[in-house]
Amino acid sequence: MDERRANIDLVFRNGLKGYEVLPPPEVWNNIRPVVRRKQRPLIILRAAAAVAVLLSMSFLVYRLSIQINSIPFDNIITLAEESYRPFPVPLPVRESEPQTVTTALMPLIEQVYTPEPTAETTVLSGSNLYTLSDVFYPAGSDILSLYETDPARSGLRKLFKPEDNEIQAEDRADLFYPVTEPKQKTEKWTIAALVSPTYHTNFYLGNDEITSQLISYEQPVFSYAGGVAFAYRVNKRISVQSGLYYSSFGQELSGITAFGGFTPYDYAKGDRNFEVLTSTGTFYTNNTDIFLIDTRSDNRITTRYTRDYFDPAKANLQYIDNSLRQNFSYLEFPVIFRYKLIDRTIDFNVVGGLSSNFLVNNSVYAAIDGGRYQVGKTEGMNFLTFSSSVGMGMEYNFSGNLSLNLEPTLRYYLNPFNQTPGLRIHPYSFGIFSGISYRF
Amino acid sequence: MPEIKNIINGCLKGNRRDQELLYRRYSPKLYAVCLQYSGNDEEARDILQEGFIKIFENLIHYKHEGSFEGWMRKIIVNTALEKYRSRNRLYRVDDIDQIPEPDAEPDTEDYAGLEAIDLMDIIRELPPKYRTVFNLFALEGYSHKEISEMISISEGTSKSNLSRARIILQRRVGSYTGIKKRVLNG
Repeated sequence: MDERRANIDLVFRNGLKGYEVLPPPEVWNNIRPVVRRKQRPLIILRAAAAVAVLLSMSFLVYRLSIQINSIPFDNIITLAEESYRPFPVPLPVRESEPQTVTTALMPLIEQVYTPEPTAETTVLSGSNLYTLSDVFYPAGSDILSLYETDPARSGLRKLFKPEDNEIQAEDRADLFYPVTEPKQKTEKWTIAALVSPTYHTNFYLGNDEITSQLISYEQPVFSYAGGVAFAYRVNKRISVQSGLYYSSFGQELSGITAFGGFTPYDYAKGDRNFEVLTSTGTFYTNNTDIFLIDTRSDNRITTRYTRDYFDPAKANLQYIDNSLRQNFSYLEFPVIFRYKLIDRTIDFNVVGGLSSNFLVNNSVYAAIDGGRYQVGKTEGMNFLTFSSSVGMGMEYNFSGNLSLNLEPTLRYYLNPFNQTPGLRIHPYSFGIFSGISYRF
Repeated sequence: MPEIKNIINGCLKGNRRDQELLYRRYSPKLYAVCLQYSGNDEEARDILQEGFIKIFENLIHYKHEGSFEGWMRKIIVNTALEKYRSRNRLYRVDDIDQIPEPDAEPDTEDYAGLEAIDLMDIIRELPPKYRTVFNLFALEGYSHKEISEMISISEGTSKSNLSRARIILQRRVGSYTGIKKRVLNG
């Protein structure tokens, strides 16, 4: 009887094998919005870079707008003919002096003057005169109608038709200061403290499938650089900069799960249990307490403790993390040339140079509860690497000899980090250096 | 047609196109599984939807060992079982004592006339707990011990449910076959 009944199992198993039914379209429409892109640190870095650029641009625009709005209050004003051309008002002229208003006004406004620091600066002294902004930026824009209808603005007429008790031409000289050239700055040296978040990644043009796969499993992690820089100004536009920087960067090796508590099962004491291949080089575990499993690829880990031989779940090992961090730190000695494009309140510079980088830290670790579980270090790393950099610097002189600096910089490493054949990958990075500099 | 490995890698990078490609390629087969475990279309749609979200979220844990389709099927089945467990207490199971034994089991040849859609209809008419045990045992290949752990019943209950599911299925297959024969013979 059981055998006969089991027969019905086969009927359904065979009959439904490979059976397909097209699902209604709304199912995918409901799935699509839920499945979001995996958030990576890269997104945060991009967002930070975007915010930094936006802030600097906004600040620049703000500064420019302040400068434009404060033209009448600037220390030095030169009004050229173009400044008042947009107001072609048929202003009255003296009958006795048949000349145009424009020519009458020219000697007056083309001169450079420095007003007293009063609450409201006037073109000329005297209660019946209007401010410069009243004349050139009249409210309502129709200057003619104001002039004709508003008695309060009769002073406008007076500006162009001075009475006897008003200032005469010869007195004007007392009101204006002669134009003087700004004093040339004599500071030659600058010291600066700079720090930057950086986005660091690799550049690989080869077509090796394994290397490409390795890179695809590696995500950049938060990186930074910072240090002290000295600059010498060769001339008004060119300066040479050097200094000492410390940079730290690395990558996350996703899909490599780390477990702790392996020591009791390590039968080959003193031997290296796991060899892991990364795009930056190979590392070996030097911590016998660590057990590694690669859940993404069969090409990265070489070990005698394969999963069919050893099951970390059955051994009750302690789960640490599902990815490893590969970290490098360098001391950098840059030589950078700086060319000043714009020399204003905010200076703009083009920056470019070379840097010698000395490896000072090389580690691979697993992160657990904010702590680090040392795994090993990458083999075959070059102790000395060279990098080139280009960037655009902004410098805001906010107080005497002090300046704020913002310097987006792209850096490319001229020689690879690792000499392992097949892994000659040239890293590059992007950072926004910011800091304070002091001229002396 | 892109290789499944490339599609999976694309999905892992959050590529929308690859996610949709994966869905389009496997959803018809997996939807059939959902129908097989559910009593109505709405429930089947829910299982497919939740199952695929889990597939995308857990793709990072796929070890590229064994069949990818099998891995996805397992997720869909687990989703269906979750649904079953959450609704289990709401189901009213027919009193099996009222279901008579079939007089004679139809020959295997008689089943040949049944199409997949007929078999699917028959299986979906089963009471949920019989359907679930039958699916897990006969179609997925789990043992009674595994089934007992999966849906929190005893092994004896699992065996009993399977036996009763088979009785119902035999009877209904017989009815279907009879009806089909009558239709074909005019």
